[in-house]
Amino acid sequence: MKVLTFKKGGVHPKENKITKDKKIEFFFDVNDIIVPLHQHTGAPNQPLVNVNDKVLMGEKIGDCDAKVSSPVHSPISGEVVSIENVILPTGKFSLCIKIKNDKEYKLHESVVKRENIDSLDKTELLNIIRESGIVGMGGAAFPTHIKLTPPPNKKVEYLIINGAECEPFLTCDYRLMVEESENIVKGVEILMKILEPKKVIFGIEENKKDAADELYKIIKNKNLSNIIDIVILKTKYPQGSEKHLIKAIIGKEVPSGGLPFDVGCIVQNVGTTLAIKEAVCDGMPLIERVLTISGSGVKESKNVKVKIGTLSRDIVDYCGGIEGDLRKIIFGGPMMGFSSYTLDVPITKGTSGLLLFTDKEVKEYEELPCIRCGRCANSCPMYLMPMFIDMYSRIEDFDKAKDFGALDCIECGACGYVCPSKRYLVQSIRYAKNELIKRKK
Amino acid sequence: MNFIIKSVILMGLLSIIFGILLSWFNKIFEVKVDENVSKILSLLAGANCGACGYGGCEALANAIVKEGVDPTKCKVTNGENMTKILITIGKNPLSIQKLKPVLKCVANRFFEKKRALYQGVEDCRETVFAFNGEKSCEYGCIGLGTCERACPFDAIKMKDGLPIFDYDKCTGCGICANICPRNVIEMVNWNEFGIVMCNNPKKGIDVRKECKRGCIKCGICIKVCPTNAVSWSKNGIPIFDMSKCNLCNLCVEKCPTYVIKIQRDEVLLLVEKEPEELKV
Repeated sequence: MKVLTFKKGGVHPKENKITKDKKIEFFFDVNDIIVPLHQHTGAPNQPLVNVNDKVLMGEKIGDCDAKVSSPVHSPISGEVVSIENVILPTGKFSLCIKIKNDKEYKLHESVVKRENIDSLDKTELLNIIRESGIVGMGGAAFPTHIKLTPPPNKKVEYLIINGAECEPFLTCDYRLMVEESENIVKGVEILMKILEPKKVIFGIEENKKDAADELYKIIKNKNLSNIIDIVILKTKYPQGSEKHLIKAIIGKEVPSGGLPFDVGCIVQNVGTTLAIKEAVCDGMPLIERVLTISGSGVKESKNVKVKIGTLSRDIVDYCGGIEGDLRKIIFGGPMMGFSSYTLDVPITKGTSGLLLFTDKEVKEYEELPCIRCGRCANSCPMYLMPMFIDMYSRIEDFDKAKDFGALDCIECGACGYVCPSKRYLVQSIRYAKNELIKRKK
Repeated sequence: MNFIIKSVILMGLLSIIFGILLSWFNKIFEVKVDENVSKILSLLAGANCGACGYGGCEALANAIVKEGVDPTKCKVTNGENMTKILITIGKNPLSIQKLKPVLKCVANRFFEKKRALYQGVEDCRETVFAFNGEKSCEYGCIGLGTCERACPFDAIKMKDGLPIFDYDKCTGCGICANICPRNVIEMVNWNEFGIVMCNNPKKGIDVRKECKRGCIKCGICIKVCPTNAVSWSKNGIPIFDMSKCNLCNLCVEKCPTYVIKIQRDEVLLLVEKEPEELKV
């Protein structure tokens, strides 16, 4: 089989997929849960409950009228203890609802299994997806119902299911593809009903071939192999980026500042697909997610399914606690994740991993001057020149940074990874991007 | 010799004709420059720093004369010249009030408490992407020197993780106060101010957890003040009414964390001790 990839740029860090063969474990037994109201990209939600209210599992506790928004639901049944500002894995503060677990896990009346899915039409399905609070589970947490409504003049030809998981250490998508392959295909069928694409393509990296086999068996059993295709991609970072996945599979490039719609594509993560199936078939809103706990700082690396809002400290305790001298805590993958100073942070819908690193993985370097070797430009998958954007960002010449394409940067971190001077390239480019976006407003 | 005389006469005639033409054109195409604009321009500082919001000193001088903009928008011009400018446009020079920056934080590297190690671009404004920096206190100075680099007059130097203002060079333009992401630099009256050098509005016990010094809201400054010049502000940090203060120095000495600074003209009341002496 031919192995596809994008042409230029990209790096290949050590894969370190320690948890690859570990089955997903369930960890729901927690005392308190802190549900952040602002977990998605878009407008923050307003709480719909008050302190001392009783809530049930699956009950909507936060919503907002804005177009780009996604409601949040109570992951457990219990009593609302407090509503306060808590720091999130992204480093920003958000209003959070703290719920005390009564350990009864009573379902709310809105959670009903749907027997007849075929009778539901497009708008009804999209409404279910919005009301279930489904967001992209890959990390950016963009509301899925918006992603699934392309502008009327654009036609969706390809639906791409992202199973690349190019980040080192993370294995949660892989485990989902192996264990829940049937449900993922069911989710794809629902997506096909909404989008009516010509072709559905699974993009899976070379190091996860058994997941592809698993999915292929089910597709063949269901006689869908003429519509659904599985493509093996080269193991390379950032293969799982939306734009690079399209480039690798379809061969078309998403224009600068454009969206996948512009080339007739929609990309969905496997986790999101599964969440859509659960929402439509089982009526269960997005209240759980699988994440990988890994790194040498934790006693036992695991893939765990947790309730959204579980404190990371509880999860680490479940995995045997901290081992050794902890140097770094990262939420998400090691390349694009957020580094944190505390474990008292709730898990959100977009947290795909929790990595605890000791001296084994973390090396500290001093930032040195740029030697103009050009390795960052060679590794940049977006064809940018990070050294120039970095330079203009540091002297605060943001117009020049924009001319060099700062807004096209996907913040993958490949440039910083290869830099021999260990310059903080992504950080300063991100700063320029933020300033430019602020100016637009 | 003939050609010399010829050319001298020709050149002489030409220069006379051009001279007459030039003086004539000068009259026709004369651009009238307002005397006040050129006068004000010569009095302004001439730093072209842009802190007033206009594109340089000339733009401001034009705006002062033509649009009636307040000349005190220029924070750089010294008092003497500003008085002259105000007289030129017919305003009362006694109404100006000059400001200077004061840091509302004392947590230098001896007193700060750290919760993490920050690795990234050395700029305070970038720490918002990294859990708000390494110091435990979310209100105090981050100490990465954005103000030092922003100061157009080279009046700020970083020392032990805090900016030190050089008031001989400082012009009070306020760029540092605007650029600070924590708003920890406050612009106060140049000659007379009283300030608590802490920006943390939390309760005393929480402040202690985040910083070795810092205002613990004990209220002793309010209790000891004989003239009731100190009172609680909205965010829980004491504020000073300098019209009532009699410079008795009681609050400055009684403050358990030595964070009060009072100045009137040449008198500066401030307890400055070595970190070992403070034993906090």
